[in-house]
Amino acid sequence: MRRPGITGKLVFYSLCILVALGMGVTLYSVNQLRDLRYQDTVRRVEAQTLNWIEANSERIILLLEVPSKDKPEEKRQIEYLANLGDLATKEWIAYVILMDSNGQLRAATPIPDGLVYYGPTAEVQGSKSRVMEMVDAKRLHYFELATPVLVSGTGMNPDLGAMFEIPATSRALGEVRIGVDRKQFESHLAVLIRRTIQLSAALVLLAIVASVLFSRRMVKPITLLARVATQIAHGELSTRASHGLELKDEVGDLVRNFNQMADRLESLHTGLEEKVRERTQQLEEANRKLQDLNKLKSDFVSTVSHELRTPLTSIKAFAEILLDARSPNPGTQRRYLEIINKESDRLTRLIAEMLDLTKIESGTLDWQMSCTDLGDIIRQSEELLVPQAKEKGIELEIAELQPHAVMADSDRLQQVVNNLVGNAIKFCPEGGRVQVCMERASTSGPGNAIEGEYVRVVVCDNGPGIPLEEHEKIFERFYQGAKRSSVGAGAGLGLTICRAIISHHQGEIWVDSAPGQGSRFSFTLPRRHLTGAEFLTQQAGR
Amino acid sequence: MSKVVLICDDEPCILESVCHVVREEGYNVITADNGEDALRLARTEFPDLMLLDIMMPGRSGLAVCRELKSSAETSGIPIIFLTAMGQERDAQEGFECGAMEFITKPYSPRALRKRLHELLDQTP
Repeated sequence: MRRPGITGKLVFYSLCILVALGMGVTLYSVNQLRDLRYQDTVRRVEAQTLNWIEANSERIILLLEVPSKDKPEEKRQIEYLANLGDLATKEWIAYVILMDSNGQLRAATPIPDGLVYYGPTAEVQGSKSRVMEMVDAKRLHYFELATPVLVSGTGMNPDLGAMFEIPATSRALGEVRIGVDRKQFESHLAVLIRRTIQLSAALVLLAIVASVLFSRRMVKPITLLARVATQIAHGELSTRASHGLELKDEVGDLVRNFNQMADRLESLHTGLEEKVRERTQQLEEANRKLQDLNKLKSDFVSTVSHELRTPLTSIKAFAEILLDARSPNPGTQRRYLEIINKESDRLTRLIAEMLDLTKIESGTLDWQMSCTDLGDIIRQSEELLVPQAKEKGIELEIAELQPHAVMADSDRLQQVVNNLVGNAIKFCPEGGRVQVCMERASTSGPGNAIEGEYVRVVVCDNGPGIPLEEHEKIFERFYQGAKRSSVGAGAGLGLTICRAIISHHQGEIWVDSAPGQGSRFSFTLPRRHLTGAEFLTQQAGR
Repeated sequence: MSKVVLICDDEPCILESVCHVVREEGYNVITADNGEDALRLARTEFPDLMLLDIMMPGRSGLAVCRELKSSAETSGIPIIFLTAMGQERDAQEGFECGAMEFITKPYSPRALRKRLHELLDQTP
């Protein structure tokens, strides 16, 4: 069942009020109308009666005061009077009775059968007549006006009065009773009442129609607003009320404010959704990174275990071979023991390098930063590696070194230079050449290309060279090149550690090389201007 | 005529130790230090057994094994993986390729000898 809407309620209430009001007004007017009509009728009948009395005074006096009715002419007049002449022919008058002062009936028109007194009716102000209601045998009602016939009131000639010896008193000579047919009166009234009711009904109907139209017009923006509110409540946040925006009343305010509210709600909601989406994305990203990191870690563990197992395998295998040797050959025995020794060193170095790298990457390495001359470091490297170079017949060529101050951990920097020069010696063919030089540079290098004052160290060799696609890979952990050199392969962590150390010093390390054209490893470090005291310390330290 | 064993490993020291063990048992040895050479030698020499490392630069031992097993003339060569990749998942992958045996490094020369005899002296 449809619940009653606001329009229905408004129409229903105004209908009730209008109908009650119409009924009240109609009832009141009908009453007033009846009253007026009654008084009007009474007055008119009375006026007619008085006129008639005046016009027929002589005959009335004769009739009332003269007992004898012998004279033929007089009798005729009385008869004429007894018919009560034209009075009875007047409108609504049903019967006329002429009574003398003793209450004796002297003349009358035909009187309805069984006419008796029924009750009093309203008095009419300013009237000399008594009015009462009569009823006959047929239950027909009559208003009866009893108008006294007065000497003074009849306008009768005083001479005539004297002639008849009528004292000029106010005594009534008799009275004229006029019966007015109530039914006829009522029927006339009914026409008027009907018209009044019709008019009232028509007006009420008109008012109802107007009220319906008006209510609907008033309520429409509210109904539409309610519909929009329902849609918003169901999640259609972009819906807006479009009806009633132009209204300049409270409803207009309501609609406009409602739309503003909906705007804010929507923007808050979309903002929230956006935020949630953003956060979800961030979380997904973080999750992906964690997964990648986890995979990286797992790969790392797997690679480390592989790298540790490799030297261990040689050690274990040769140890067992030596133990089980059926015919020991001193030459072979010594060679296998050397391999075991070498592989043990490799294992030790690998573990040390791994620990180093882990410390650097986790940020737990204790850096001993101080003002250092890079030239010194290269010279120390030279001293350390010259014997190794000589052994392979390699010419180690160090360019003339100018002092270049840098802020660095000198031990770690030494590690970098040793590694680069050591690699160069290792990969050079016998009789090859390794060159080391140092120069100023204005950028950090090809990677970040940060402008500034830098010092660049370059280590060149004329070894086999490195193809372009491996230029970055060689700095990755455990990468040992597609064609692994059989001569004392490292663990594949050396360059990774070099890069970590140089990065910590805000420098860059990279390689320029092509197969067959040797390799050129470079690294840069930010230059540092020496203070006077530092310079003296440097000089003294030499 | 003695059986031929093809050994492939990129680590020269390990290669040398395996060669020593196999030779001591009286088998002929062919060596390769990368996957490509191993594949080429297997197709030309038809060894009676192969000892393959998995993690090598270039073609991996698993790839070599798959290629050999996919060709009718080389699919009959028994293959033993000798690898430092010691996780169960790796072993499973090795067996799925058609390997006969999966030995984890560091290996025991004594155990290897035993397996060699079992595999080579049973086949006619």
